[in-house]
Amino acid sequence: MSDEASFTSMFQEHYEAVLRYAWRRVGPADAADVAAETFKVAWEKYDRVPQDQPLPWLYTTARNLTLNLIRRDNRRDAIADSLSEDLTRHGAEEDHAATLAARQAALAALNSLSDADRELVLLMSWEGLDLRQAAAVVGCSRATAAMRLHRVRRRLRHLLVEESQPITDRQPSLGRSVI
Amino acid sequence: MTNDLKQLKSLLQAHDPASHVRADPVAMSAALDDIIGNTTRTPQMAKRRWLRRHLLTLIPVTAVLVAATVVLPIIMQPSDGGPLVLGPAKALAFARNGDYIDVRIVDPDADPRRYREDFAAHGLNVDLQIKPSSPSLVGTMLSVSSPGKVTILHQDGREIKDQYISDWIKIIGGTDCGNMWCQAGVSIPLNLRGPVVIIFGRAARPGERYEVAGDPTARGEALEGVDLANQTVAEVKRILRQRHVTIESYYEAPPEPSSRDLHGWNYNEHVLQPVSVPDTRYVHEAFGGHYKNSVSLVVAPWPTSRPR
Repeated sequence: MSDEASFTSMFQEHYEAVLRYAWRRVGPADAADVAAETFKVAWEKYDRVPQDQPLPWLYTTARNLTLNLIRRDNRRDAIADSLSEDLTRHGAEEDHAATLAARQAALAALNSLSDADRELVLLMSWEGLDLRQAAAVVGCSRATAAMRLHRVRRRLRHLLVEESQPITDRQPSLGRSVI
Repeated sequence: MTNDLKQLKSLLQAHDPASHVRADPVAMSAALDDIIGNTTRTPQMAKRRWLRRHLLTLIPVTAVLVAATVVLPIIMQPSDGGPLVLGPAKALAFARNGDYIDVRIVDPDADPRRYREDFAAHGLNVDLQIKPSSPSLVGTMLSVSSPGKVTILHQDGREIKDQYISDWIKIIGGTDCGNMWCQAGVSIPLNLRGPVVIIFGRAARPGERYEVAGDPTARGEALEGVDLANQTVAEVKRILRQRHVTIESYYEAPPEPSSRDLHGWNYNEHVLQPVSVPDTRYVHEAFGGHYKNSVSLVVAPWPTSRPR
């Protein structure tokens, strides 16, 4: 198979996943640009893209591009806004107060993580990567990623202990920049 | 993994902001074509480079054609209307939007018969013409008109009328073609009395002449993001050489301070011979050339007071 044909096949198979990745991090306005740029880089360096499992490589590239975009525009990423909006929209309609409190606590925990720790959790949740793949995307070893997840669990436990506290007493952490 | 982390993962999965996002085949096709057609790859071993060139001559892969083979039967995407549904010939996608129907091109390389078939299936008297275009215009709508009728330009659409009837064609925005007019799609009234001619841009095949050339500084074009205004011809030539862009022609700029376009300045009547253009002239603007990586320059002995 020629490079063009195999690249085209990879593009068609993974474009949507990369588009979604970008959509979650930078929002709808820039997602398509990030996705297209990711594949542009992939075509420029196609001999370095793992042919058997290109998706983590593509996510790494998309991650670098989104971080550059966020830094360049001096803005925050879209994760906090989109989750907060989603929580408000669905939470008020469907959930009782205890569930809402649990969600807010969990999302507060997510927001309190460092960039790399949070990305690790998101990659495993939204992109469905396993620990080894997620570690590769954020640029650390599997052991380091496992240690970071342990740290996340500790933080989660700490925050969820406070769950009995009334929701109205908490500060809305989701609207705050996490960058 | 503890229950706390599982809970967080479940929560995130349930609140995935991109769960509804589907790739638009039109955008995919244009992006793929742009990447393969316009991106320079990192040099590899000489043998491998030769192999690639060799293959390119044997198999002129048109990315659009390949991409078009994997269209989805129903293309969901965020829009005001309903879901986009493929026409029977799978060349166009339609979405009902009140009294209108949104139309998007799925296969920009389809035979015109297939467009007619898809439009006819919705009872629409539309002649869709696809013109080879430069990268920023690929997959976009470039013109709406009707033979023998007047087309009135409005901000949100085109009104096509004669002394008896009037049809409103709405435009679907969301594209950026620099200083050119282009739109992502078109919304046609269900009771269209037509006929209407719509022109869309498609990717040019290798060596094919562009019938419609875009703004050369627009996204995806040879001079993307470059500002040439008020640079000398010598400076511009250096920039063009770096980007492997050639000069197709020179035009004389209209005299200032009169408006360059409103007074009917016809550039085709003001073509300059290259030998008559000194390197010290100022470039006022650049037009896209009719072949890949070519431009036409508008020049004058004075800098422009209205750089675009």
